Formats: sequence, structure tokens, C-alpha cells
Amino acid sequence: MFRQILFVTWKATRFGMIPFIMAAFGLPLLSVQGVRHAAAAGVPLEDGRITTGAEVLEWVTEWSHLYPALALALGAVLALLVWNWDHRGTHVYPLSLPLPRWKYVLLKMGAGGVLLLIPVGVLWLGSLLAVSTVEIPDGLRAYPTAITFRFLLATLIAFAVFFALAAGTIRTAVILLIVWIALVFLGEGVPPILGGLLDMPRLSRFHFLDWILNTSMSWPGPFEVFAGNWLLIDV
Amino acid sequence: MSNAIEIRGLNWRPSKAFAIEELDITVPSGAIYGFLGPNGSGKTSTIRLLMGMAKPQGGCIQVLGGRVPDDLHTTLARTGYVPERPHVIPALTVDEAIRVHSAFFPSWDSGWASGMKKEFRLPADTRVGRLSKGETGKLLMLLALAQRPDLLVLDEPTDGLDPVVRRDVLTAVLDYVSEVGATVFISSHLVHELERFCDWVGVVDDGKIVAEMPMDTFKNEIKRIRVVGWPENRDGDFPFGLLGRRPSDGMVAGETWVVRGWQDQMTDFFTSAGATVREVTHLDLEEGFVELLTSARPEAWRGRNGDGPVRGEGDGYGTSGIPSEERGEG
Repeated sequence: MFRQILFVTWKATRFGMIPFIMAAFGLPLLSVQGVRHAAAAGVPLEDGRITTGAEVLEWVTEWSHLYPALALALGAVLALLVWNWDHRGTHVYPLSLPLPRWKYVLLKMGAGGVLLLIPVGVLWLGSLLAVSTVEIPDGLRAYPTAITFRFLLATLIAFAVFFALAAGTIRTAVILLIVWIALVFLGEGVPPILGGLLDMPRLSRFHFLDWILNTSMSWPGPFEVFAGNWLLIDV
Repeated sequence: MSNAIEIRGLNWRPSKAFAIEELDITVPSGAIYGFLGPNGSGKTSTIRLLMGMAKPQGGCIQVLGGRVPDDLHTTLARTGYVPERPHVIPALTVDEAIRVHSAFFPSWDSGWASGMKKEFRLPADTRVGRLSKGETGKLLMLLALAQRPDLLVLDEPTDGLDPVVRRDVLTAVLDYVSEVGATVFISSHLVHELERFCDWVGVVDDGKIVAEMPMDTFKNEIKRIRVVGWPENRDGDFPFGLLGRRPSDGMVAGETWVVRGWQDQMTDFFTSAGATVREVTHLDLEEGFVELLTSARPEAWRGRNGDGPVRGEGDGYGTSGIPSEERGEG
């Protein structure tokens, strides 16, 4: 049963995945491109040669923001593609199968998770290839497996979140959006007023959006993985 | 006789414009039940509720002895379903669609499916989305039948198909039924199509059951009578089943009644009430269907309280004009 769901999910997502697979392979290679060229040809990167670890770090850091962005986009697009056919068929086919709905959803999510391994595996290959083509200065090390593992975690989290959102109807999405806007409105608007009334400066300075961002993007927040270290080459 | 489908007091209101209200349906096991109704009458909605795809606001649905939605997965495993619109993933080829579908049904008959695929001349490597309407109809029927179901729920399975494909598809259903003895619940607005092979018929309009009875009864016992002088406030224990009643249209005198179980001597019943029966017309299925719908439309209703059709309660025919023993009750 899972094999068939996996097969259907593959058929539904394969074309949409191609750009991400290419990006996953290309990103590590591109992120060391400047390092390789500069080191091989002795071409100055900015105002000097790439001979120091600091310059290498500077180069790979510039590219490091693209990894979580790619993970987020991959997870989101895959989740949308996984549900695409179900939505287009108004869910009639899955609902006519003798399968509990939670099991169907779980199978679908599992299939999506398995398919994520393709771009993740490609990113690992790309990373291995990338670090093997550059000369890494003393004091620095390459982390192709670590960055791949981080990428896997990030894509899984993005996929899970968007999978849950995409599973619902447009009505559900609209309700969630309204709830979110209401929360932001209340969270940003009410504390300063309350702080002024109750004479509590700390409450007056509270910003809901900052708080939610800090809480979710730092440990043990669920999205901490997106904000962590994404350097392919590091100390 | 046990019933394959029992729906009692079903209520569902998906929007302000449409509602299914107090719907009762009884499909005896082994019957081929034609579910007739005009477009938008609630046929597909009823089927979706039957298949557990929507949650009713009230009422009880039993399918193959199991309650829906509590025992849904058991009943779905024994139910073959052909929806109104193709539901198979369009990017799959015919062979892939068959292989994927088979994985969910333990009773799947691969040999039968292969034979049927050849008989239907379905192109194995063509994508479902590129099949013609007829081929898609055949594929859906193949998928439903190869499950070897005890119950087939077919939602307008031949709508839009040419006569040859329609015959192929319906022949496949009849062959299967004669082989296995399965129950068939088939919805359609094509009266003549159902007339040929259904042995029970239910007529639905505006979310309500207008009539439900054996096909023979529908074909042979439904009459349209024109009654002149029926007392305004007179209700009665009618000696026949009163399926519908509408007032004079102004062109001819008297009310039009649609009745079942009519016999000539029943004119005495009207005479004793001071009324006269002017005309008795035998109706075939299509005429009966049209008459029933015309009589059941709210604007034509003339119930005792102005809120529904007179149905002849107390005459042994129940609220849908069906004797209780024929409905499998008791």
C-alpha cells in the first residue's frame, strides 16, 4: 500500500522537484566556486588573494543563507504538490478507499518524506564534490554531512508545516490566516496599552512578533534549524 | 429480506440553497435499485453521504450491515464506487491506475481485471487524463467491479457515454450481478436506461424521497386520475397509495392525483365522498416519473396543512407509498 502511495506521490511531484534537485546539487558547488577559482588561479577575491581562512569563511557565509531558503521552498512546494491531485479531485478518490483518513494522511506524509531524501541526497553529493575540489586553508574543515543533515531537518520541518496547511481546505487556510492576523493585532496592540494602564514598562515594550520569532527560531523552538550554522566550510 | 442500504431520517444542509431533509431509503440485498431524480435533486449528495464523504447533520445510514461512518472502512472495502466525475489520478496510465487501486482492496481479482481490460479494449499505457470519455467510463467500471464488491454504488455511470459504450458498461454490471448476486445502487436521470434492468426504484427531488417502490409496481400500478369535487377538508384512509396531488391547472377541471394500487372499483370511494373520477390514465416509468416530480414540487403541493404532499398514511403504504413488507421492514 505504501509503495503505491509512494509511486503516486512520485508521479505527482517529480516535475516540480527537478528544479530543487538541480539547485540542491548546484548550491554547494556554487558556494565554493569563488574559493576554487581564486585559489587555483591566484585571482584576488576583493583586495587580496584567498589565502586566509577568514576570507574563505566570508565567501561561504555569503552563500549560507541560500541553504535554509532552499530547504523552506523545497518543503513548501513538495507539500503543495503532494496534495495537489487530491484537491483537484475534491478528495473523492482517497475518500472512497477503505482506509482510515489518518492512515492515508500518514502514508502520504511518509511518501513525501521519503521523496525528500532525493534532493537531500543530491545536496550531500554536491557538497562532497564541492569540498573535494577546493583547497581548504589550515584551521578550517568541511562539513558536507553536517550541512546535509541540517538541510534534511529543515526540509522535513518545512514539509511537515506546509503539509498540514495544504491538507486543509481554503476555508481552513482563511480561518488560520484570520486567527494569525488577530493574534498579531492583539499581540502588538494590547501590551503597550495594558503596560501604560498598569504602569508596567516591560509589558509596554513587549512585541509579539519579535517574541514569536525569537521563540520559534532559537533553541528549543521548532524553527531553530533554519537560523543555525549553515556553513559548508567552517572552523 | 435484509437490506443492503438503510437510510433513515437523513438530514444534511451543505448550503442555504439546498438541503436533504428526512430522507429515507431502503435498498434490499440483491436488488438493482435505480435512484432517479432530476439534475440537482440530491442524488450525488445522497451518494456522498452514503460513502461517508460528507457528515450528515442527522439521521442514520447503514450499509451492508455496518453503520456509516463508524464502520466505514469495512463497508468501503465491500463497496465498488463509480463517481459522477472521474476520480482516478489523470497522470497515471491505465495499468498504473489498476495497480494502484488494487493495492487497497484485499478481494481484488487481478485475472478478472486483466480480462476486462482486454474486453473493454483499454490502452494499457495511455494516461487516464488522455482517455476518451467512454474509455474513462469503462476504466472506472473495471476498477469498481474488480474489487468483487457486495455493493456497487454507481453515480450516473453512463452519463455522456455513447450508446455502444453505455451498453458495454451496463452489460458488465449485469454480468457481475448475475454472477455474484451483488446489490446495485445506481443513480441516473435517464429513466429509460434504468427501466430496463432495475428492480427497485426511488425517486428523489429537492432532497426528499418522492416515491420508492419495486420497478414492476412503478411501471404497472402508477395511474394518474383526475378528481372533480373532492371536499376541501376531507382527509381519508385511501384504499390506494397516494403519491402526489396537485390542483387544477385551470385548463381542465379537477385535481390531478398520482396513485398506486388503483383498481376500477375504487371510483366508489370518490363517489361516497361526493367526488367524481373523470379520467384514469396508465403511466409508464417516464410519465410516472414526470408526474411524481410535478406533483411533488412545493409550488404544486397541496398537503393537508399546505406543507407537503398527501401520502395516504394509514392505508398500509407508509409515507412513501410502499407497503411495509415490501420495504423489508418487520
